[in-house]
Amino acid sequence: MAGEKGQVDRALLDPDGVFPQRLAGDRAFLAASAGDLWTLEAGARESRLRGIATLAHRLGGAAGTFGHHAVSEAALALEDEILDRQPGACLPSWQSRVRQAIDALARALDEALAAG
Amino acid sequence: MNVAGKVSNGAMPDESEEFSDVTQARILVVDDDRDLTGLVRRELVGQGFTVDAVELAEDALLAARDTAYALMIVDLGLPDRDGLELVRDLRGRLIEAPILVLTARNKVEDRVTGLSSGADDYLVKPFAVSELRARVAALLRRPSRMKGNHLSVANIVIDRNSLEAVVDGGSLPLPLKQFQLLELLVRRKNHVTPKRMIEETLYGFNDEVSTNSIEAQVYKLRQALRSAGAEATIETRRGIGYRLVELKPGPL
Repeated sequence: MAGEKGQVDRALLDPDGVFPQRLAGDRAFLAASAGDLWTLEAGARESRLRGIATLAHRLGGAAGTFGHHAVSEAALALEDEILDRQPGACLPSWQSRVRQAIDALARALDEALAAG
Repeated sequence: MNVAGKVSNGAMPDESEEFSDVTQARILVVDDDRDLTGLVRRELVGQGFTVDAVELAEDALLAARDTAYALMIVDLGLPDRDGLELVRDLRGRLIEAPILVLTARNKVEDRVTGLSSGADDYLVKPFAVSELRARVAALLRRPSRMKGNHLSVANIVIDRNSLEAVVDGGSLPLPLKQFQLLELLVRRKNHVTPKRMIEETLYGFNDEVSTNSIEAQVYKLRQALRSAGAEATIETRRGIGYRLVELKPGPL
C-alpha cells in the first residue's frame, strides 16, 4: 500500500527519526505566526508573512524529500499564495486564499505528526 | 569548519599534481538545511564518497580553494549569498568540478539562469534520493571525472561500484575507510602516497582524526591483506607515506 511504502521510505531516509521534530517546530512556528496575523498593522504583517513564506519555502523543499509529500505540497502552495500577490489585487480575496493555505499546511503538518 | 586544516599550500611540487587524481571521491555539499545535508551526506557516504558539508557560500569558496573536489552540490538559497553568485564565483576562479544545483525554484527561467551561471545540472527540491544518486553518478561519469571502477594490483581487485575487494578470487570484506585507503593505494600503485593525501581522501572537515588514525588504518588493512593471501603489501616510507608493492615470489 502507498501509505505503508511511505512509512518504509521515511524510515530509510530518516533513520534517526529527527525530521518529525522539525515538523513539530514548524507547526508551532506557524501557529504562533498565523494566530493574530490579520490584526497586525501593515508593516508587522508583511514581516510576519515573509517569515511564513520562508518557512514554507524551506519546508516545501525538505518535507517532500523526506517523504512527507502532502506537507511539501501544502507548503509550496502557501509560498506561492504569499508571493504571487498581484499589485492592486483584491485584498480580502488574497487574504482569504492565504488563510486557507495556512490552514491547509497546518492540517498537513498535524496529519504528518499524528502518523508519527 | 576547519578549512585551514585542509589547506594544501606547501605541498611538494610532484605531490600537488597527484592531488587532482586522488581526491576524485570527495564531494562538497553547500546547504544550510541540516536535515537535507544529513540525508545527502548519508547517501553519498554510503556510496563510498568522502563528503564535506558547509552552510555558507564564504566557507564553500575557502573549501574549494583548498581541495580539488570531484563534485559540488550547491543549494541556491544560502544565508550569506545567492547560490548562483557562488557558482559564478567558483567558475570565475577556474574551479572546474561539476556543480549540481539544488533549489526549490522551479521556473524555467530559474533553471536556465542556473545552468547559464556555470552549473552542470539542476535538481529541484523536493527530490527523490534515487534521482540525486543518478545525477551524481552521471556527473562523475563525465570524461576525466572518474577513472575506472575496476582496479587491480597483483591478485587484488577492487570494484568501486559495489565497494567490494577481492583477493585471489575470494571476497575481502573491508570497512569503508579501509576500502577507500586500498582504492587510493591501488590507484597509486608504484607511487608513494603521502600521509596527508591519505588523510585528505579518507576524512572530511568534521571528522575526528587522531594523530595515529592513518597508521591504525594502514595496520589493519595490511593485516587484512596478509590474512587473505594478497600478493601485495603496504610498504612504509618513514616520514613520507605508504606504497602498495607486489610481493616477489620466494625461492622454491
